[in-house]
Amino acid sequence: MPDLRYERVRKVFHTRNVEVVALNDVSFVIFEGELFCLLGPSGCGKTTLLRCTAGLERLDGGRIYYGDTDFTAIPPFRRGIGMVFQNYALYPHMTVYDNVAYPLRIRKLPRGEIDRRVREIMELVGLPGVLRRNPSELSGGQQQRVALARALVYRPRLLLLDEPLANLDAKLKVYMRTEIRRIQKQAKVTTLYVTHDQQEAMAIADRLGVMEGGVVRQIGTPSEIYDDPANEFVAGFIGEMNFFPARIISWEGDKLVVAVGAAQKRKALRAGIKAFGDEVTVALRPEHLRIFPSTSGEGVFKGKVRVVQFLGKFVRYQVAISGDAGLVEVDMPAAVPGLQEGDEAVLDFDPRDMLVFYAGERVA
Amino acid sequence: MGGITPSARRLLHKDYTVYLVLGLGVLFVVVFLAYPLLRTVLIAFVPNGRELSFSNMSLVNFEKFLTSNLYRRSLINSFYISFAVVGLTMLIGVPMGYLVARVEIPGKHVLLSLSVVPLIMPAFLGAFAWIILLGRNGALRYVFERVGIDLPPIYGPFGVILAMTLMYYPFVFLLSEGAFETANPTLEESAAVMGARLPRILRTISLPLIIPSIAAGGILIFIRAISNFGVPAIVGGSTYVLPTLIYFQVNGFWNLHAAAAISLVSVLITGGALWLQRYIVSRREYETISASRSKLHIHRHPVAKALAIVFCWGVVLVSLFPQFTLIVMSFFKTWNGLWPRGFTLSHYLAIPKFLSGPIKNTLILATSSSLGAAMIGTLIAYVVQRRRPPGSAVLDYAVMLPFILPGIVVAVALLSSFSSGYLILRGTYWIMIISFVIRRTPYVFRSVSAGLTQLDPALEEASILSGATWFQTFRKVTLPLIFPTLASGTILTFATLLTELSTSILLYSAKTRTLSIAIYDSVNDGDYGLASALAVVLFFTVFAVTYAINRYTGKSMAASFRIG
Ligand SMILES: Nc1ncnc2c1ncn2[C@@H]1O[C@H](COP(=O)(O)OP(=O)(O)OP(=O)(O)O)[C@@H](O)[C@H]1O
Ligand SMILES: [Mg+2]
Repeated sequence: MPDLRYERVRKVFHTRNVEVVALNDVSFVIFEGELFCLLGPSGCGKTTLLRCTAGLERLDGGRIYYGDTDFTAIPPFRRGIGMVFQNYALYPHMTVYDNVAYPLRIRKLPRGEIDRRVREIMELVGLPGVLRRNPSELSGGQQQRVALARALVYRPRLLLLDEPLANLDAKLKVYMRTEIRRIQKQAKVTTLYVTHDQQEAMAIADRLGVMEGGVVRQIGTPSEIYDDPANEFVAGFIGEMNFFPARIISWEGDKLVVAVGAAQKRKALRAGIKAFGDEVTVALRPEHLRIFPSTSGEGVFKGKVRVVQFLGKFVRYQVAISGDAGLVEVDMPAAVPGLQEGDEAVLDFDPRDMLVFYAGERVA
Repeated sequence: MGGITPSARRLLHKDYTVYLVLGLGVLFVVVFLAYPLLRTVLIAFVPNGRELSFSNMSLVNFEKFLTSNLYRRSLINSFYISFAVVGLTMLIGVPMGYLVARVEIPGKHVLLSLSVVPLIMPAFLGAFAWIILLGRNGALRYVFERVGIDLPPIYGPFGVILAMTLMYYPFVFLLSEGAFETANPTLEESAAVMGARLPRILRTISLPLIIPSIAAGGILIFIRAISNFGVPAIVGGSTYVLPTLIYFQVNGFWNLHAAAAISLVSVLITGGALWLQRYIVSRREYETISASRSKLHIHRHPVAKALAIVFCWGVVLVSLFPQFTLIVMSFFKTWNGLWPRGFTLSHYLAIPKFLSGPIKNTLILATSSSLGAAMIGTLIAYVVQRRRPPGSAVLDYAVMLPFILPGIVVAVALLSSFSSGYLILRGTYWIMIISFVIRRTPYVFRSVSAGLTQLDPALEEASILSGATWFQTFRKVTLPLIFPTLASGTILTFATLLTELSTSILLYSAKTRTLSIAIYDSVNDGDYGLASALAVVLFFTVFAVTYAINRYTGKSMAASFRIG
């Protein structure tokens, strides 16, 4: 059941005669109990969408529905939303206890009830022992948990998080993201989580939306987004991807024959694609390319190995191929015997792994 | 809510307190600032004794500036005295700033602290002290006569310029001291490397670099000097300036129409000066602040040191003469010639008589007005800064307007609006409180606005989202966090209101007489001993309050008086 529904949401900022379209007809839904991630490069409008959801910004068009109610008609303090800010926004003049109790006191709950709920939520976020301290006496990770507790303590119907891990160090980030997911699932609260870190988003989200320039470019589960990107932007933004220029040779029914490198490859067209031109782009993940020494046969591309990196579970080869300025990245499960830095090599791949884009959009 | 449209529901759900607060703020500004000012502008064009109507409008009141000798001389005096004060404060303050910043002077911190004392002293008290010292039988005049120097009479331009110069020079001094101290040493060093000698470096590098900020400070002094009422009222004698001319028109003839016209001219001058100041500040573009201060060249030559010590300490000590004089005078019956005569405590023993009247009034008025200014200034600053409702820019300007209004002009505006008609406030506490609030709100407004820009809006947003209305948010989150700024601003306002004279002089009645007025009257009655004793009490109260506030905020006295 959809919990939160965005319908052609539009937001334009005017600054000194310059118009910035921060959100351009954004439409999608978030389901009940889901942890939904918004992912995109800096300035793409993630924070703006979050603030519009909270009611901190006024929409310039479209509507946001919560269930059947039109959210846009409700002022922010009545929306029943919990939000965690990037810098946590803990009240420096209150203790941790008072910070967390604040929303309950606003709601005029009885003292005993407040006390019970504060302790309960601090238990949930795994920080029961710091109630009497001031926020400034806590570590970054602890402040993060307090902010989460304060946002959850009044059992909001919706939790918004704006880059909640941005201020933590790398190790704590990885730990806290599993913690946040655990807490979110335990509290069963529908959550919109904003980040520009794609690893974080892939790790934590039930589903995610990839944004670019005020537009949502694709929505799906992490594996859908990774394996089946809808356009060149998402393909390039999520994970690592090699792009090659290619040309269409012929059509064989619903199959396409493209000339890429020295080879021709076939792949089924996506449903509904009608007509397009000759020049296309072929994209391949590093793990979908295979590399051999040039002595062992012909491949799609020829090149010279520039760098070999042992990265634990796999070995990464960076290869300069002729006619292309950038380095192609190839991941192999183990080192290829007889292939050193400086050696000539050939690359090949399975056409089923190949993604074909025309004018930025996926066609095969 | 079946039949209710979303927009209707939006209206029902909305939090209206913000509009209520804004409404009250706007109402106050409109009734007690906009309306009186508008009325003042209008009656300035209507001859005295005529009804305020369009057909009665003429330029009669302004023609006086061409026809009347008194008017013309007042206008000329205002300019001539103010320019002289600006020039002299520059001549004293800039070299002193350079010397203190760049020459090794013993007791530099003491010197800096002492230099702000004249700023804490109410203007008219300084002028009064100079009368004691340089009046016909003044001790200092006696000394000068002995060495053969004949000083001009204290009553007149000489006294006004002297008192104002010694009172305002710290502004220029602190400003240029700061500028010379933070100037980028590499600029001067590169000139020295290229072979320039000190005077040339000063003339071509050091001074031009700080000229914009000094000029801005000079204009502020000009505004203060030309708006000042207390000094010319005490030592002006027959030399009238615009503020005293306004006073003369109201107090002497109850001619509010003439007073309004003079006020308008005066405001145009200060407004123009302020505009010029803004313009200069906005043009101040070069980088003078340096990262590494240590390299700054400090002069240690004995001759330079001796010169600096004599000049700087000399100026500071002379500027403290008034305080010293008032203390001495308060303990003696007379002070004619070199030594005061007739030690007595009777002046201090007379003070209890003032407790139930002027002292009580002063405390009541200063307390209630500073609280009122704090409340209105804070709420409007909050609404304007954070909510930006339509029309907030206009409100912003309106609240700041009294900055360029000389105190006596505010008094004229209020008198012209509330002496007759529906709301008669003349002679009440209310009119004095309103005038103080109007005049001091800009200070609170400005400091709270500054405080709010330091405060992360996310704190307030977090509160709103967790269900608090904006008023709850304001009370529980915003207010506690800006409280230190607000409190120190309010108490400083309180301190300045203790010595207020230029507005109250036109608004007070027998019932609402303040301590400043009582001192002013005693001076005019020639009761110097009593006036001094009251002045000492007043000055030390103000000093203690200011000192306490600076301790509380951790600022040095000198820092809180830097301008520009
Ligand atoms: N208050 C504002 N006034 C004017 N422009 C704004 C305002 N807030 C955001 N913008 C503009 O809207 C666009 C989207 O901004 P937004 O803050 O939503 O980006 P973001 O995706 O959250 O980026 P980041 O990852 O850097 O936080 C940007 O171009 C930004 O400059
Ligand atoms: Mg953001």
